[in-house]
Amino acid sequence: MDNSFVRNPVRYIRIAMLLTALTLLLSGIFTGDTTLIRIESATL
Amino acid sequence: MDRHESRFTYTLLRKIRSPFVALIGLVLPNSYLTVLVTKQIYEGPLKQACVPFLNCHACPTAYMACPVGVLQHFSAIRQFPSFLVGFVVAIGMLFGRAACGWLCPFGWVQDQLHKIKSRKFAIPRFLSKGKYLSLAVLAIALPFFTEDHWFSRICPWGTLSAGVPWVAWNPDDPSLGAPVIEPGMLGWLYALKISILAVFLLLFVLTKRPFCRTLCPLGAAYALFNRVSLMRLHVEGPCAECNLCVEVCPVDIRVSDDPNAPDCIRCLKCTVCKHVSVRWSYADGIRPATVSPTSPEGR
Repeated sequence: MDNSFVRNPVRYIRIAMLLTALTLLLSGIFTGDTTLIRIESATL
Repeated sequence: MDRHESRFTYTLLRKIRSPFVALIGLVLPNSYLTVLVTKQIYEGPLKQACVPFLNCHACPTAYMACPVGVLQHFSAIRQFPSFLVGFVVAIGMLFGRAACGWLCPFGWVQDQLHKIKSRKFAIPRFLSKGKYLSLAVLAIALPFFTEDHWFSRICPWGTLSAGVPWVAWNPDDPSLGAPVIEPGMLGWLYALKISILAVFLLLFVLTKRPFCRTLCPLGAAYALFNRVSLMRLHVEGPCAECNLCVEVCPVDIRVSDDPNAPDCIRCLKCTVCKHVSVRWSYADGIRPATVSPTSPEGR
């Protein structure tokens, strides 16, 4: 067994964060939260 | 890829970066020229998604939404922006702040203005914490409590790419039958925004990327991922401390000491030094060891 894989938690953090990001992104698409974006100008 | 080809790739990347940003970050997302006929901003399906960089969705020719505008909106309506958070975390985890260096049109504007010959000044390090404050307060907390978009109210890129063009053009809105900007709409807030823009434009000439380093909420969000992203800068020792990486760096980072510093925009200018390279790794430690000439390995 590769001991460095067990000792290095950073790779687990990276994989977990990428999976979390993908889950959030997909859930955002499926729940339609992108459609909530209001085109509002605060430019003046 | 052998070492020679690899250095050639970096040279090529450094040469194409500026035109790439101008085309993909500035022109492409702001090419809705139909506005010249309709006199109304694009509100189609593309605007329901956001670009991974700062780009005001109120710009007359913008096709997509600005992530900071979307964040403020969701804070104001007190809902969690799943899509946006997933999108930003995914980009950050893959590339860190590379979107700031390779896509952001406002960063490109700052780079161009900094080429103007003048006396140059360094930005004090502590001011780089300001962008986190900007993210937490102006883009999240204040919109949450006041239901208003506070960052957009002061954003110099919004003023430059949306406020000023609308005021200068001021067409008749066909749905209203009246000018978009009516007399009396331009008050003290617009004067404040113009003043902020003017100050920043001057700072762009005098200092390197002051907005990215001190105020940009999106840069702050991406900065959180620089140390853990899969795209990483790697310094192979021994570093000769020639300071070449510091001289070319647009955000004043000593790459040899901290190649994945939060402020690094991954522009790859520092790859002009043969010791600096890009590495894609999910197994690297958060602070990969670098070899300096003062360490025993570097001597």
